[in-house]
Amino acid sequence: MQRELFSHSPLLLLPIVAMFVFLAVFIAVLIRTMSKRASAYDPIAALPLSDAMPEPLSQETRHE
Amino acid sequence: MSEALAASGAKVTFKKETIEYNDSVVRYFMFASVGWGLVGMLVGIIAALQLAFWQANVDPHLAFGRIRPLHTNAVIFAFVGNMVFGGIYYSTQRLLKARMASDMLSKIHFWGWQLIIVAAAITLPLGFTQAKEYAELEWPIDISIAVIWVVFAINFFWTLAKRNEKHIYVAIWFYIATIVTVAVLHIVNSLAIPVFGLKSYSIFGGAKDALVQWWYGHNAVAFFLTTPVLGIMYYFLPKAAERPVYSYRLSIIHFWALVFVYIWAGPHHLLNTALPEWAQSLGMLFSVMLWAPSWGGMLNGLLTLRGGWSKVRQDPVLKFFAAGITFYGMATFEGPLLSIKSVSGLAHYTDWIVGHVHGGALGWNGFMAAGMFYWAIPRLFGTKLHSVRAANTHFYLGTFGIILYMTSMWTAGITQGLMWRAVTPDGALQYPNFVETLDAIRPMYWMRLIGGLSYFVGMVLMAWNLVVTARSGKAVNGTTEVVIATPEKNAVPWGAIIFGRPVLVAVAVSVLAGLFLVTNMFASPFFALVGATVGILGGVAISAGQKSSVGEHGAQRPHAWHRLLEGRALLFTVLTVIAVLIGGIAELVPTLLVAADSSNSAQHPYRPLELEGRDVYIREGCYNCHSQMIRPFRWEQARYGEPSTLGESQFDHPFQWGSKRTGPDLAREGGKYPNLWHAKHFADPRSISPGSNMPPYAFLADWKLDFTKTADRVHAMKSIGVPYTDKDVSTAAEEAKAQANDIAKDLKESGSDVPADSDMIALIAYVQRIGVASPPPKPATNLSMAP
Repeated sequence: MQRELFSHSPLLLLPIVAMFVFLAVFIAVLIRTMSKRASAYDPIAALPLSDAMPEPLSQETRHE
Repeated sequence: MSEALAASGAKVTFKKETIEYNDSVVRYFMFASVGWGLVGMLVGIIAALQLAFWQANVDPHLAFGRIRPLHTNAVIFAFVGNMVFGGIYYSTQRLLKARMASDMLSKIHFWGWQLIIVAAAITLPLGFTQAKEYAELEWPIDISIAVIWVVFAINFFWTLAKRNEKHIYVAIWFYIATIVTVAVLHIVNSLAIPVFGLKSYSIFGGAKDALVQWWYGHNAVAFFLTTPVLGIMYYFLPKAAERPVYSYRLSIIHFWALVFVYIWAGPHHLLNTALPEWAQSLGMLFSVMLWAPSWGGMLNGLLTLRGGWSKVRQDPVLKFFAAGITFYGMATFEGPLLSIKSVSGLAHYTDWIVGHVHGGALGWNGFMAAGMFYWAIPRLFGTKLHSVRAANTHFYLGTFGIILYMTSMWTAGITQGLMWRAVTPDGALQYPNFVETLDAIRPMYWMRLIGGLSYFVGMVLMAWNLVVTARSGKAVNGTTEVVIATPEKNAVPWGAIIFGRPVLVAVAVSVLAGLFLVTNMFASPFFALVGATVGILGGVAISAGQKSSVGEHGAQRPHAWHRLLEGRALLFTVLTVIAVLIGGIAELVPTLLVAADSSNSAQHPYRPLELEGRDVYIREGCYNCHSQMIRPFRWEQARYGEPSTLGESQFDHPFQWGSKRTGPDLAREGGKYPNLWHAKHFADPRSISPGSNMPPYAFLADWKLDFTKTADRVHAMKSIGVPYTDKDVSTAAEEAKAQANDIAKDLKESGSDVPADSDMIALIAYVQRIGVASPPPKPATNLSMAP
């Protein structure tokens, strides 16, 4: 009965669609990230090392 | 950015501020972690001793079944929890260039968490438990955890909102994922109906409870023991190595892949059980996929040390980090391996799993904690580490301990797994007596104890070293200076993020994929083709868009998609929530709904006394050593009986499938032996089963059953959907007493005098009912059967 129920249940589409969404987003993030030069991320990557004064920020950004 | 603002001609005002970080709460959390770590590991050593030497079960409240949850909760939530909070508070303030938003919330978080730990340390030995692994704490404590977690979340996101650094470094992403996911996991898995005081029943039952529990259990490992520690790695490792992370791009991929994939992998804890086949396959598939992001993260960590390995030889901090990350790599190689169904068939329920989790807990969590403490405590007290030599000794003691622990448990697990399935040429079990398989691995239990002791001595050394270091200095709080500029208008439009190319392409491909799945055989190929085309062209367009956003000399144009995203904490949090929930919802909802339709109408709810006995079983933590799930293997069938079905455990709130067989499976225990066998076995397990390491439960014959609460238990079960009638509730106590008298009478006739109103009688009633639809079985008469 369980097998019968699963073979007809539209609910089974849920994990399959979710998996496609995951794959699509992951591929987009992958392409987007790797197409950028590694050096473009250098300032962010250096954040843990910078105990110096940070670059000034807009008030807008500060109080999201 | 200031130049850009100035160049735009907008009126800009600058203000310089000095910020003093709240490092006091960091010091509190770090020392609390060290203290609770010692307690949790000491309890672990006692538990390990009890498995090798049953006489170490000296008191009913400190028997293995009760202190094993105390050990796991202490190590996970007290040791790692406090370590994670300390690391988060230290790094978040510095990465965001902002003091924690509220000192009061920080204090409430710290003291509230310690109170919860104390409550756990008191209630678990007293037997107050929900019997859900790593979520044993009863409902009032669960509510306290939720409240304190919300306090932590408010403090964290408030700080994020008032930050003075635009970009959110990758460590913060991991913290965000931790905070939102743990909240969801804890709330869903803890949904329960209170019976009275400190007793509740999970609203989920049987397979549904199993799925929810292991969705939680697995992701507790993922989002409490892994993601926050990865965040700590991404902050403290570059600090200690004095060089940026090897690849920031890889850290982005690492993050998104991990949060998407982890949440799906829970069913690998339920392979070869009665859980629907598709859910098992999905769990296995995503567990194997986890290999890639986990190793991406490990390599990113280890490669950060490239060119600096000479420092690793001298600096204990880097030693601990390098070894910790290596253990992470080992554990995340082993995890997917164990999630392959055939490997799980051998390893599940054995000590191999225990070895696996300790590789992660002692190697990854313990060593990352040690590295962070050795780096941070001297700085938090403005001094140098008291003894580098002692720290190095700690490292070698710890490494030796972990290796001894893991190898002994691998050997024990594989040996016992092979013995369980071994058959003679004529097809009979080669080792039909379970105790034979236990005897074979007993030396490994002693070896594990030595490994644990070695690790513990290292921890004691660390505690001494850190305390002396702290006492030689003076508490100092870090400071930084920030310059704030007021611009003309918001430079970051929301539309550019929400309608960015990556989002649009992902949505389009998802819609087309959905159409591919729901349409007929003619339309589906069309949608598949269009979906693939959109995906490829979209990828190219995103890539082209990226190139066009890089101006001459590599200068960045504003609004590059991910950079914008990094600047928007709220949106980033929402996207992270969607990422982690998508798998959970997609996996849980169909199973929860379908499991409800696969109930077995032949199954009857437990009789009141059996329900009382089941609560004794839960209170004593029997599930820590006994499973109730027979897998569809021939050798398992030969040892325990027919494979378990979903319907059989439908009224089990919570489920009792278990995860470890230190003793045999009990799914078909009902009616297998007479009442006298059980009474004698509980009183002195070795009188029936020589060589057993089960603690004695003779005291259960003296502990009185409170029949005044029987109706409350039946009523609570009725309220969560178990088909009891009002009459069942009103007559529960009388019915329980009548059944108890029958069992006591039967025992007396067999020569054993056990009071009818004792816990032991109730437990016998329950055990005789396991795996039996209804009514309670007539006891067998053969006392000489092997256990």
